Amino acid sequence: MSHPNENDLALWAGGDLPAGETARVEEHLAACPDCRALAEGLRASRAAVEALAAEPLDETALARVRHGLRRRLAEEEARRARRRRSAAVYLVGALAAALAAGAVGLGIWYVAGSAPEPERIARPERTALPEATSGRERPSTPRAPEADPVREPRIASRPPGTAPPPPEPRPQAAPVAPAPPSVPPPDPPEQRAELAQAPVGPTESMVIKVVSDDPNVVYYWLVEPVSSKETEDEAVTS
Amino acid sequence: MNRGDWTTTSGGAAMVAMARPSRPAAPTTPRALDGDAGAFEEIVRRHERRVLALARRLLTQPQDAEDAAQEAFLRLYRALARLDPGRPVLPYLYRITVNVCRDLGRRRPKPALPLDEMDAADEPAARGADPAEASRLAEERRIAAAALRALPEKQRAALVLRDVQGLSTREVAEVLGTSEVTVRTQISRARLKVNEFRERVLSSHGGRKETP
Repeated sequence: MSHPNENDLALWAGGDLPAGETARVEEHLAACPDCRALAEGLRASRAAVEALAAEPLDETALARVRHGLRRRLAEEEARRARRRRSAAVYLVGALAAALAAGAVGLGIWYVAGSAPEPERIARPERTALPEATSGRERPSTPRAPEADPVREPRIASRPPGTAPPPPEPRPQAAPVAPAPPSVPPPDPPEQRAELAQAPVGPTESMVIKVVSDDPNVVYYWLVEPVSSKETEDEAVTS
Repeated sequence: MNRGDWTTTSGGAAMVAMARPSRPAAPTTPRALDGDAGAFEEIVRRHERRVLALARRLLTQPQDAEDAAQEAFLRLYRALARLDPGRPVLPYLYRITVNVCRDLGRRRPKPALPLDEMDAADEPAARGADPAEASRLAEERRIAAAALRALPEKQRAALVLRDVQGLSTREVAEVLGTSEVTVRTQISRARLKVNEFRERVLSSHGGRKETP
């Protein structure tokens, strides 16, 4: 029988050979004094290494570790607290900037109309298109919305109506007019009701959470709800 | 952080209140940090001996072990928020310790003569009825410790985790982020080198070789 390689003997010394191989190695060791000498040396040196685990630890070293750790943790906490404080200062500034930007943003949003909610607007618009294309005035519509961008979200959120298009230069207003009696759009109470239902823009409170890479610093951007007075005014002016 | 800092309007206060339920148990509040600190102290109490003993065997200069243990726990503390509370912390702590010791070891030059430079104070006082046996055991440990220091870094880490800390080869592989096959290769080579080192030292110390 050939000699097991010394790596296998080293594994055998620590009980790290699979059962089958262990039996094979031990069978060989019983018959081979050279391999037995190496295997026993490996076992003895492994036992010496293992005995290091039993070596008692110096208690004063442990105390020094604990003491040093406590000091370093205190420093770490102080650093974190400093960072939190500066983050708070930054947050107040950022919040003020965000509110100012938000005010401007809302203004832009109302002027731009559909911009902040492209998905919600796009879908109903597509359903309205096939009907509208039958109208003769259709080619003029791509340019028309720019003159009246504010209307678009409101119109789009309405279910596609069945009323025939009145002969007006604004073809998109008619196909989507609601089925109930009053067809002409410039009716203020009607507009207000639609706006209340319209799922557009920040008509409700919003909290935008911004997570930083420091788990202890989280920014919240508070967005004010849009007052119904404002939207009403907008509706009337349009 | 005081919430008053950023509740600039009453509407804002309401919205912060609204947002709170959606905020998961992220330790962003001082209270949560306090809780973590309590849990952290328990972890330190439970594992400090193991970490210090491991660092002492992984480092070529045992006097760095205290610094390494502190650093390992500090790194654990920083990582605490990211840890999965359902998983045992010890394998992770072992891994941190191995990394800290590797970093420290790479910064420090190796001692020229590991055995001769060994600190006698590192050895515990001989106790028991048989001083001769006690001194023989102390000598064995001295040699074993020196043999470990003479090993290449990765082999030393694998062997210390397996033979001193008593982890299984699979656990060692997990801690070191490697395969079990690699670990078995590392520990078999390491054992052969330790054996060679020990036999050489014993034969030079008056032929006290124990193997027949």
